[in-house]
Amino acid sequence: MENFPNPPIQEAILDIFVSVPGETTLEKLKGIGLSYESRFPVKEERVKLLSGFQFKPTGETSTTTSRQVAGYLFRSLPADAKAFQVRLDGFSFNKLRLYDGWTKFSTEAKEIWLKYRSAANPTLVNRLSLRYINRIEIPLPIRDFADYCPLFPNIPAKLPQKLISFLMSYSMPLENPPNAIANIILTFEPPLPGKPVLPLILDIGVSVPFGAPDNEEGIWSTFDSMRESKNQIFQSSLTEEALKLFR
Amino acid sequence: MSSVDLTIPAPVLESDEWQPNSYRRFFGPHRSRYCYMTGLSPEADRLSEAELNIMFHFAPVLASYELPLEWKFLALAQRWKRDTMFASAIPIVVSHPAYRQIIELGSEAIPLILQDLARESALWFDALTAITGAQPILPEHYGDIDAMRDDWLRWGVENGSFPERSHCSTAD
Repeated sequence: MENFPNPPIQEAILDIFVSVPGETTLEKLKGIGLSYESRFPVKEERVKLLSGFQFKPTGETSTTTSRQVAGYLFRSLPADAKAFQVRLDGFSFNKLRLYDGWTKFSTEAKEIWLKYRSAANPTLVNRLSLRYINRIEIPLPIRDFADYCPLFPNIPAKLPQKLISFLMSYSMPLENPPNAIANIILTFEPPLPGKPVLPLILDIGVSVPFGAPDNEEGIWSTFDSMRESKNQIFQSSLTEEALKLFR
Repeated sequence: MSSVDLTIPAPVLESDEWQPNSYRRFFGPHRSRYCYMTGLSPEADRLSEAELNIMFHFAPVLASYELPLEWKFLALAQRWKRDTMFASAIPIVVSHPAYRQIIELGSEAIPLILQDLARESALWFDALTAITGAQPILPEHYGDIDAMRDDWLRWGVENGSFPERSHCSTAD
């Protein structure tokens, strides 16, 4: 797979979703941040809002809403543009632009995950997820969107060939790693005045159920496979004309 | 004959709460109201907004039907919050048609407004005063949204429109 010197990655997110025993508390998770205070000095609460409706056979309806602290987010200084999240339902490592390669990204994620694992003592690793959000700035004017991205919606010729917005979402099973699912989402931002580019946002997420939390090697070899599939999806979702933009 | 629970669990919306100041300080001014999963970038927000726009598309439809009050309130409140997300002038925010329709719902909407207010400090104060005629905000609290919110929630507890246990500040 080709490595691009100027990749369009705006954010890479590595998530490990877990189940934790009752004795794992938010206070314990908060302590993880202390170990990384110099690298991740900014702490924020992660708050989860939950709302929903219920229909009952009696005709009665009810709404439920709750707000709860689900964990903590620790951000680096802006120059490093990275963050990690420790929650009762899992761990996340985020790297924002500029992304500096899988080895560095996964090594740092693994280091902090091990700290999380030791504090949270998960009983199960429910799911691994790897998500890359790309921003591809297509130079305008263009003849056809398909010259850059075959995933772009095909608008019938009799309709106006202009779009205000669109959002396309695909989910597909993957063979590598087994049982993995890819979620691909494509949208765009309106071009800014004076900037003759069309920013396409291509979000590629791969997730897979996992299992026993003690198979540390398995977690990281699975992530390696997920990354391979992610790269394959990325390169297949863009044309040679688009890939040239990243070389 | 045993009874069967036919309760249908409805779709649940989960979102992370907006944290504007910290985000703007750190990553720039683009943070929208909702996050998409665990992403932090402006592009993650863009994706989240695009998905939520599909959901919000149905809000006016919901609000126009003879639906239970809770539904109607939620649909109107969503529309109001969406449309005034980036408005900074209070007169613009409180003159939005959905906001006025919520006022027209009358006193039955008070517990719903107070529940919403307990979750987030939205500008419900004009609506509450318009419906109830009350003005419980202490003069020294004007301009401090959280303190104004607490004054109204305390009023809600005292007047039986809001359960005491739902909000820590008023329960103390």
